[in-house]
Amino acid sequence: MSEAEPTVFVIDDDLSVRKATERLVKSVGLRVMTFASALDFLKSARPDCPACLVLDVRLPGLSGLDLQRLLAERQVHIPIIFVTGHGDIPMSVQAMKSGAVEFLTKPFRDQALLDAIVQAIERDRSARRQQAEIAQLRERFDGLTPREREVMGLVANGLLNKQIAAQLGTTEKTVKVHRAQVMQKMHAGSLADLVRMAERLRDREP
Amino acid sequence: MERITERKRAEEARRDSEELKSRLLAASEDCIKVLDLEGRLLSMNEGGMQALEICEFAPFADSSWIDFWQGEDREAAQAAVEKGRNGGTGRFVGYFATAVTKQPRWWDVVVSPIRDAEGKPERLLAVSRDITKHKLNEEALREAHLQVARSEERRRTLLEINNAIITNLTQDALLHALCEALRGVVPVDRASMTLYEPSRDTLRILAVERQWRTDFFQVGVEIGRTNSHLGWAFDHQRPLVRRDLETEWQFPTEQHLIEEGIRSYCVAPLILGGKGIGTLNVGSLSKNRYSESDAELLSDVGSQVALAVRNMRSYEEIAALKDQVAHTAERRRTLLEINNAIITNLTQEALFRSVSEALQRVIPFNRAALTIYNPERGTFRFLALESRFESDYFRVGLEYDRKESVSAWVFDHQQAVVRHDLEKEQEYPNDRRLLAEGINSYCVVPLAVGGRSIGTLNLGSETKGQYSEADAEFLQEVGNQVALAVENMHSYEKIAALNTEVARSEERWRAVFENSAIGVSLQDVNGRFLAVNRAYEKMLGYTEEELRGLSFLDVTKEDDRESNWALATELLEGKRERYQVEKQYRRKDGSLLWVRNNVSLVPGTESIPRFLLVLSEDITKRKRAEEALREAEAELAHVTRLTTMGELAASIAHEVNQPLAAIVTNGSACLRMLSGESPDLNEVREAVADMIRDGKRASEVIARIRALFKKQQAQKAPLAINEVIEEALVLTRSAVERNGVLLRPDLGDDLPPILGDRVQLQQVVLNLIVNAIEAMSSVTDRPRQLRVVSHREGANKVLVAVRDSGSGLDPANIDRFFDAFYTTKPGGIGMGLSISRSIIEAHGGRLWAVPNEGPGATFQFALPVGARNRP
Repeated sequence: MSEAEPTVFVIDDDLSVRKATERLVKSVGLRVMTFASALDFLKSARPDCPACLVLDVRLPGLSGLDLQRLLAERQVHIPIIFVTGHGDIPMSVQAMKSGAVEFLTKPFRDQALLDAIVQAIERDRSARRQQAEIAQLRERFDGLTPREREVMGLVANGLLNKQIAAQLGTTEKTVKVHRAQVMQKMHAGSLADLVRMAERLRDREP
Repeated sequence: MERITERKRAEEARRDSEELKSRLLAASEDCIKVLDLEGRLLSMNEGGMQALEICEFAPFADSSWIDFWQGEDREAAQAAVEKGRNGGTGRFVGYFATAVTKQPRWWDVVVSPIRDAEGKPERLLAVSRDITKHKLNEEALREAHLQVARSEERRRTLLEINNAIITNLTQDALLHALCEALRGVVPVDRASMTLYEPSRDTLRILAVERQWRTDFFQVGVEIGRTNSHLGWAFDHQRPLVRRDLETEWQFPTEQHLIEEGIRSYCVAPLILGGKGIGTLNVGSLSKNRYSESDAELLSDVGSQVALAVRNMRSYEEIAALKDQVAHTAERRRTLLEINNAIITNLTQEALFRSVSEALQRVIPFNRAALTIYNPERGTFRFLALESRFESDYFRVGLEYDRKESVSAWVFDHQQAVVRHDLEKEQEYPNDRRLLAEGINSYCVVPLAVGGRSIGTLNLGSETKGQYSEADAEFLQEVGNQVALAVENMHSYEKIAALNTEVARSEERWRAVFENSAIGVSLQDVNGRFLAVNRAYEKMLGYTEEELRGLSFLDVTKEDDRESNWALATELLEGKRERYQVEKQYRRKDGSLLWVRNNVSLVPGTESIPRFLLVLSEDITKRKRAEEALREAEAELAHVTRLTTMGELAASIAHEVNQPLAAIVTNGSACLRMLSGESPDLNEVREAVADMIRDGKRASEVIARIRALFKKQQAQKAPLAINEVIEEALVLTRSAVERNGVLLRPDLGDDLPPILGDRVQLQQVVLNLIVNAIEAMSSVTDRPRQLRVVSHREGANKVLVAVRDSGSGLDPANIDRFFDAFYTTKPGGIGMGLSISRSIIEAHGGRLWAVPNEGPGATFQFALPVGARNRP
């Protein structure tokens, strides 16, 4: 599965810090995109690739924490590394609670940032992979007929064919046909596989 | 020729001489005659002919010159001719009247011989000089001498009479002396004097020589002027002489004289200044005793007597005047008494009684009243009335309109009015009332003071015509006195009222003075204490007695004395009316107190010299409060600076941190780039350049911080945090109460002192409390509880917590509470917590917030115990 080159987004209102951070990240061969404000970032067209966000807490307009919340609301699950001039515990707690990867106080050690970035990208990458898998499952699931979806749900819940047939008011044979259809459409190699798929799909259900 | 000429000349000379002679003879006023030796007229000059009023000489030629003369003169002429014939010169004075007009002429006649060549008398020259004038003069002279002699005697008589007149001051004595004197020159058997009485047109006998008084001729008997012998002399201003009364009498009055045995008399008029005033009469028991000249003499005497009589009258007048003077004196005395009464009687009734008593002696009256005019009502009011005379109508207090009586006229014109007979002269209603009460005349005079009327003085009498103008004049004077007295009395009453008022107000003021909370002191112009009240004594710790020996400078703080004295001087010099000064007094015990003094100069009166009135208010407390306030203000200013600085410090930290972060990051990047196999040196160079720039930027910021901190060093000192809290609680008490907040302080005992800036820490506590109160402002469903707690935290810290029961913390913003400009309050600016944190951090402490287990939040800070001894 070919993957797009990962990108690091840096948002800092301080030009020096922005440039320095960009330079540091580039030095390890990562692609970097810099923004002076949260709004600039939101407006920009971002590549579809594993990425992470190096975000200054204090920003003019939308603050770093504001942006974090906004992205969460938009289901943009880009990992965030916070950096701050004078961080404090409640702020970091807040940031971490909201899913920040790291909370770094300026000046930070270069390795700390780079480790965080690598970690974040990796997390994003896996997240993206999972996301892709779920999307595939979903796609497959969407290709099922309503009866097949019912059958798949009941199968995943561990009901026997006979039980399912009784519940659906049909014959065991018909259930078997549906079940085979589901297994095939969902690319499930085994019953366990299907159950796992169902669970994953169910997790994503709101 | 010559002889002829000579002869001619001689002839001419002779002729000239002749002519001259004849001209001289003609011109001479003397009568020059040539007589033969027998005395026959041969020739006469022209002048002589004219003098004798003779036209032609011829009829007289050869007539005897001697025969012209008569009597003694003829004999004298005869003798003179004979003398001349014998060679001598005869001379005589003779009388000869002129021929035609028969003018009497006296002649001085000289007869001298004209001799022939042999020296024998050939003819006679008679020169008569007219000496008529001279002769007449002589006559006159002689006559004059005679006259002189006579008049000498008369003069003497007159002198005697004069003497008599001068020395005898009664008519009887005068007449007697007159008779004595006259008797030497005229016969006097009887004598009398009469004076004309114009009112009855009679001649009244003024005096009769004593021994001859009869039934008729008595002093005081009046004889009619008309148809009387006396009247005749009086009327004609000529003496009347009867030489024989029995045959000559004409007037009936003369019968009396005849009966008395008078046979002749002379009546001389007494004339004074051309005007008859009476007669002087002398009579004799014999006939023909009075000549014209006697009459003349008597006339003269009459003039003298007239004078004397006039003098006598003058004397009488003087005597009358004396009486009058005495009368006036009496009036004066009355005035004086009135004056006395005025001075001594201070009630109107008493005064008026005294006045009327005094008046009674000089002016009779049955009524007396004083009225005072009331200009506002246009009425007169009886101020006083002689009480005996009060009637139902006329009584004290009666007020009547100005139209009612004559008073208004008197008042307006300031002139007295006298009514002699009210029955005829009544004019006003009051006149009729008076008349009804039996008053027939009155006198009303104005009471005037300084040209201003104040009322009237009224006297009334039952007798008609009781009051004369003189009375009115006198009363007017009394009126003036009384007016003055009434005015005085009014003034006195006013003064008395004022005195009472003054006494009362004095008492009041005394009470105010003594009981005033304000210190009151009276000082003389030298600043020496005259009197002080208790408050002042208390203020200064001196007694009034002790202060009396001192001046205000003695109790004024040394530094204030000069400026204070300058102010007082300005006051005394009239440059200002009063001044207010805040100054310090030094008490008796040496301590100081602040006072605000209101100083004014009270002008002097006749009895009291001017003095200073000083009201002193103790403002020590206020001053202290002011000082405290000033300090607080200074501290607040300081705090404001510090908080501003604190706020800046937060942002400054950020400002420094940013370039530092950039530097570190760039440095790291460079290292990484350089450790690569083919480092991009350009990139490295750029990074280093950025690092240098950021380093500079950071140092600039630090320089700025240093500059700020240099100026704004907080003053740290060991202090008890509980005091800080308590002060803050005091300051917020009203806010706590206003918001219905239940305050529960819980301050720990025995807390160690901390090192800090009191004001800054106070600011923090204040800020936390105010925030807490505001956080509870919307709470209505539970108690608003505010707990302020202090306690020891471990060994080295003191913790202060402010816990509220408000809306609590929004966890989303919990990290922003302490940011500058972050606020949850509608009116806030978001500085409080930011500053507070800056302050606490500057003290090496920490400030944070925690949500409560129950409602609300707790903001707390921990400070290290102040053991450090750093500057």
